[in-house]
Amino acid sequence: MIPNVPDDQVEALLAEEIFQKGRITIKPKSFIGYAVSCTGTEFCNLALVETKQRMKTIVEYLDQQLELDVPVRMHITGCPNSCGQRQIADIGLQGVLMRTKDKKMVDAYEIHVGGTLLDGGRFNKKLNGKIEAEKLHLVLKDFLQYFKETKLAGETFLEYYDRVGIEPLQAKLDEILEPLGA
Amino acid sequence: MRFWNLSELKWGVSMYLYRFLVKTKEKEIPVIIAAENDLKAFEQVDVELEKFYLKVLDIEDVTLYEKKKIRKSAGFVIDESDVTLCT
Repeated sequence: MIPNVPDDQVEALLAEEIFQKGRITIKPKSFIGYAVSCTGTEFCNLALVETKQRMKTIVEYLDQQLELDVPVRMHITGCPNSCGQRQIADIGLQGVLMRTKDKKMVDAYEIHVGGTLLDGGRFNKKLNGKIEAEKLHLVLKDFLQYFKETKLAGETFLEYYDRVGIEPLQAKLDEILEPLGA
Repeated sequence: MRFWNLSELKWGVSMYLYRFLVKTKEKEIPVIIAAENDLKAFEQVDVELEKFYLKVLDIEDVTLYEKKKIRKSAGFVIDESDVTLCT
């Protein structure tokens, strides 16, 4: 946020090089402009998984693959202390460290949906299923593609969630995860 | 003046309390472990499960949800919503 810019100098500010080279934009895409992450294992010894770079990679991928008429607020956090505040996100990603049946250690994430700060606030709810980190971008792409195909024009993720409920989203996630064996 | 011995220092600096959920075909089992690091904590899960159930379980996955540093004390609340009964 750049505060205290006089109205008559906004255009001049936006003409500055930093805005022209794409590093900072006042019109962010649907995902990267609304993504939140904790610092993850890079700087936190309570975090269980890597979050910040993973989130950046995922939202850049989603912005390339999907075009939506509304932003989707995705938050990721590496442990239940939740510096990434995943509870209030449209889609909250909670990191866990998982040892699979074949004894492989993997970063994994659980998906929570339907959080908000509006009207007094409401925490999102967990969908069953753990997604390995390497497959997370693919799962989210399919999940959000389903949202895109079944939403009304201009409908936000929260409005969509309130209209359809959690069951269709759980069913879709189950369908996506089944061939992955998750 | 107090001089800390190595074991006290080690306990104060590097012990963690871990909260796991172990998934089998029949149910999910919460397991709490104290250990020095993640690897030892995962190994201790297997030890505690075998001691408790007196057999090696057919485990689908072992998931670490949270860890806390142990200084003077530490704990976890396990809510029933944390555990999903598999059908």
